[in-house]
Amino acid sequence: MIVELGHFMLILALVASLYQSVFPMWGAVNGDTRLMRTAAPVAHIIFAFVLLSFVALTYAYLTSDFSVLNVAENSHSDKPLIYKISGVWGNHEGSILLWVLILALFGSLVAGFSGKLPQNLKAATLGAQGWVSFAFLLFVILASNPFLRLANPPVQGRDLNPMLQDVGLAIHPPLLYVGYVGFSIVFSFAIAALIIGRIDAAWARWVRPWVLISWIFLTLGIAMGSYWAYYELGWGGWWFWDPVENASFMPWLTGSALLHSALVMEKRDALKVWTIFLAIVTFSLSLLGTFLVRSGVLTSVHAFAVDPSRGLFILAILMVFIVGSFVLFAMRAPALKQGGLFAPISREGALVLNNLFLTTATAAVFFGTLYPLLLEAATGEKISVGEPFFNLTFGPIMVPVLLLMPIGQLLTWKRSDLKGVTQRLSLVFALACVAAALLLWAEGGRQVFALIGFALAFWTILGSFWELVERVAPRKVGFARAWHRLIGLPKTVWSTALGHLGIGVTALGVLCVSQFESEKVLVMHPGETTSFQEYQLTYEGFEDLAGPNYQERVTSYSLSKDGEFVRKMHPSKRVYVASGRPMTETDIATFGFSQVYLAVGDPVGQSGLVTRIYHKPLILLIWIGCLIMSAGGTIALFDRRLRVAAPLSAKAHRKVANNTGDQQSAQS
Amino acid sequence: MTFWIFVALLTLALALAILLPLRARRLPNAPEQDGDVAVFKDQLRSLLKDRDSGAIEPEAAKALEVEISRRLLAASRASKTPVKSPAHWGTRIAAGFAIVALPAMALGLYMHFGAPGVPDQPLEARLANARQNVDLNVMVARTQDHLRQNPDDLRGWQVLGPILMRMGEFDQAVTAYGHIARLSGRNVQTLTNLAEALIFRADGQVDETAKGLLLEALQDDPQAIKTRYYLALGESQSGDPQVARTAWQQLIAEAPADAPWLPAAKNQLARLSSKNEKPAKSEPQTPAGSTADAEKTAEHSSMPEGELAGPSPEDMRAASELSAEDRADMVSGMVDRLRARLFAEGGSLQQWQMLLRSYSVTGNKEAAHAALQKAKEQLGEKSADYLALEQAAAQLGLTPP
Repeated sequence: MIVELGHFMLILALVASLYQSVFPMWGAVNGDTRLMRTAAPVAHIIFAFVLLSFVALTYAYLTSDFSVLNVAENSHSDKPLIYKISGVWGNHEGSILLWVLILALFGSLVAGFSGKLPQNLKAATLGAQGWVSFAFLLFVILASNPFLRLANPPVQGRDLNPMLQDVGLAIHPPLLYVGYVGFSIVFSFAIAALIIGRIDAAWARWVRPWVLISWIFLTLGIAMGSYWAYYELGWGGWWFWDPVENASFMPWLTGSALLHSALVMEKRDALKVWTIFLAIVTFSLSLLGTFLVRSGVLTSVHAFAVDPSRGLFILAILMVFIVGSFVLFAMRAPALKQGGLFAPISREGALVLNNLFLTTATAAVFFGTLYPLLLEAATGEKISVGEPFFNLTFGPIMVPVLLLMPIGQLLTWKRSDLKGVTQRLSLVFALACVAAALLLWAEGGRQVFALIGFALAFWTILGSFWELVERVAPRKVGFARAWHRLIGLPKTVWSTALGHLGIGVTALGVLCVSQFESEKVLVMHPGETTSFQEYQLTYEGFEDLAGPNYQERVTSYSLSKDGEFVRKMHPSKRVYVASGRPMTETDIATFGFSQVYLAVGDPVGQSGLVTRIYHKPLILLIWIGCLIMSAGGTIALFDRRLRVAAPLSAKAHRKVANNTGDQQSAQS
Repeated sequence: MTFWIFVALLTLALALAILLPLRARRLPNAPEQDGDVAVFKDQLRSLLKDRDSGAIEPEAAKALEVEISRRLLAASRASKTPVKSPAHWGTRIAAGFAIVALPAMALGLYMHFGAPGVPDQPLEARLANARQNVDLNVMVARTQDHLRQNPDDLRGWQVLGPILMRMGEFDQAVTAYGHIARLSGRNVQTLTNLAEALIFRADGQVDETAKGLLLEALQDDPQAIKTRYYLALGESQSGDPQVARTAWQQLIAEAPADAPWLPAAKNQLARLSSKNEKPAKSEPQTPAGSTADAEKTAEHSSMPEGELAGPSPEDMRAASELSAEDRADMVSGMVDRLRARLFAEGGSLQQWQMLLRSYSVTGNKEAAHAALQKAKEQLGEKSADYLALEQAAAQLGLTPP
């Protein structure tokens, strides 16, 4: 009965979202307060229904109810509890249901936490969210229904793809989906603004938390996915420019652009139309990502099932939403009131540049992702656009972004002084060069490009905090006062610094790994020792063990550094009983931010074993940088004020600059 | 009945979520209409607070105050747009929709897609239910569950091993015999059984692991016929033909005249003699093998030497009642007929898929590849059907030729 009730509640959610799509929107357009008032309760009840439905499916997984087709196909009664739960979204149907659940959650959150929102904007936003919910609920029920039943349930299920039987599956999709789907609410806000035909100055203030939440989760989701691929796939790579990865990266890029353009909109009442445009583009890219991943256009671990009819369905949703929203945009955007103009040398000018580079980067990734697919569809020719393409396009675009980040942070709103700012940053520049040279020397590299890259990363890292240093001016006011000032700094300053610091840290990790990582593949016999950089590795033997739903061959290695024993390492190979599929489990030893990564391959001869060892210098910085970025975003989320930038008179400007301890700027 | 009460309550909840706000008499509109103004007022207040606490320099605060006030003025002008009085027919349509259309659509869709009245069937409940009407699969699954909890239950593994062999679940049989060898010691009987399971799993190939086990077994009892039989088979496949011939000749010479494996052994020897160099293609007797005397096969688990058979006669009788052989024969007959028809006359995508699936179930990869090759000719390499078939094959773990 629980399973069937879950199914019924899903259908109720569908019809409720049909109501939501029509009536509150109608009310918003015609000023009918009664109809608008129904939007919030319906948003809540849709969420409640989808949630309960999700719980019902989870129940079926927990009890191994193989009379549910979806459970029989993707579960196994021996699976450990956590994978029974995460297995709910480890398949096509369940993952789309999770998508819808988060969609409904965001609708409910907007309904609950937007007390100050003008009623018509709220109703229209929830109405637009209702369109998205309706489309995807329809897709779930018609084309990927997780509640279909089997008349003759099998005794045992077919089990989850072993690659997905990992904690990663429990965390990565929900994080990523909150990011992906969160942008739907931003999209709904944009659509609502277009339909009502008015964007308040405060629109950006209301959209800000939703952009931030989505961006934070998308950042974490991508980072998590990357780390998961790194340790689970056993190839030692952390980013493959795989279409599926790009699909999540593109909304992240435009989302970051949106984050910055919304700032300009909030502070300066400008870039309104552009911000709306970015909101639409970002969600369109999320939808495109969902299409690429879920339609079976791509074969990867993410594409659970290949079914052309599903692909067409998602393609139809994609077309309707993207084309529809752009048509609406073309019709209504000219009517929106434009904001003021501004000087190129100013904080907003720098933010526009940021937007320019980020969107160009998105275009490069978009092209590299879709061109091979389109070419294959059109001519049947298969080409592979891989790392070289992205390194040559995406890489150079990121250089000016990194270069401009510290400068942009120090520019003031409305009008600023580039020369002064560059002078103020000369110390940062010098420090960055020294740090880069030191790192290059420590890693034993000689390449000029590596030096430039490192200098750029350190420039970003050190520059991100320069604004704090200048504002606090410890040398001038003394430590106690400086501490007081540091605490009292506006949250925006902190969030900007952390966000940019995170980018710099990630960039440093990426550059270091790509320059200095090394790999060794060899066949090892028990008792044999191999040395690798400053490490020595001895293969000791293996042991066959039985896991809950797999057989495992656990190997044992001992790792020493400079002759001193560090730890035992136990990479293993598993064979899953139900599916018979093999799986490699790696073992990773961490030294500071660097890692030694060990994976085993097939046995060779009587006792030989293919062993792959990788040394990954500073690789953890890649993900630590993402965590720092998210922390920055989280701080911004708690800044509840509406931000405004006001011009200062020239005299006042000098005075303020003086007070914040900036002698040079005042004199210049 | 409870189910339909829940259905009614849930539908009612949805209708109420729409109807209650629709029916509300008083329409508070003032504070909500000028959200913009409220936001700017808020902002002004927090600015003044910041200025007083010294977080913002007075000059900057003054400039900000001017800017915010300017926006506040603009916003309050804009918010004076007249509020239309809501039309009653809009509300009526919405209410009608909530009362009539929503429940009708929900029920209609559910009756179409749902399975009303089908109860939940958690695995445990189903296993408990199955106790009355014994199904071999269920029995095996339950035993396996039990053994997973108690992997040291020798008796359980001894019961399970032969049944798994008969069912063709060689993979799991290897596990079972592995446990038996672990629990009751590595003697000639346990090791040979384990080797036999390995050989069947490898489609009759005696691989290095199996060979090692057999040699170890032979140390325990150099005369064990079953062990020597498989060793001879291994020699025929990959070893020295001369050694193999000697082994077969010895076995045949020592065998009683009515030994059921004698024809197979003679056959192997004949092949070796005729094709001196070519390694013999293995043809071990399958548990559902060619021996006409099915009962005998069941008793001896495919191999000679009654004393080597592990499980007791009762176990075997219980299992043989299920007549796995008959079922396997029937299925393989059907598959063969389907294959013959498809190869001769061609067929639809579904039929080819069915054939591939059957082969993947029986683990016959070569036949599956041959079928895929044939389908390529029949359907055309570039046709959508063939591509779909190739995808299906990939999902079944069969790589395209």
